[in-house]
Amino acid sequence: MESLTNTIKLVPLNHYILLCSIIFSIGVMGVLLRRNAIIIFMSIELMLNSVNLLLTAFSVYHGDASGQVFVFFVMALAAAEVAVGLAIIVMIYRNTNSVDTNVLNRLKW
Amino acid sequence: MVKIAAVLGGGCLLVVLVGCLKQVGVADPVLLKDPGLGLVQNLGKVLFNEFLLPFEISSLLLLSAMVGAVLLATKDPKQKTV
Repeated sequence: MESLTNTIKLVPLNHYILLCSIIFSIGVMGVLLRRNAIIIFMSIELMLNSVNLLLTAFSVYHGDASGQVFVFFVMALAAAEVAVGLAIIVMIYRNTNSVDTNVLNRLKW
Repeated sequence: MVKIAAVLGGGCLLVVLVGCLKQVGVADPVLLKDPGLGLVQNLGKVLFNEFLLPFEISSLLLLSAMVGAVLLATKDPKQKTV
């Protein structure tokens, strides 16, 4: 446990940025690739959380707590977005009996 | 076709990000200089002093999201379900 803590202290900031870029790109690819609305929402969450991780890393790097507070606001925004989005998905499912986004390309029922 | 374009687009984004990162020199390790930085007490003090107005506004955001979600997701009894 002690050695693990000492190893974590040696991680440079670049590795955090690299990890967050990879997670963000996975999220972008998920949004572009998948046609299931719920999986698109999961990918959006992935993008938001990669930004959260980067914000906390920079916050610790600069010794400023504002970044960590901003993560709270991003989380609140994500919660609101998911609540409204899932409600929209439920409505779409009631109308079209599927959550496939290809059905919505005409933007009318 | 769309999937190839999606993978290409996402891969290009990743390549651009990694390429930008390559230009930057290796930064210092992320060290917790101030040991009280992430504690709930200090975080709460920052949240309720500097960020009090955004905190209150986010409550409005959550309330409106809740109302909107309930409005969208409840079944309209008059409307005939398809």
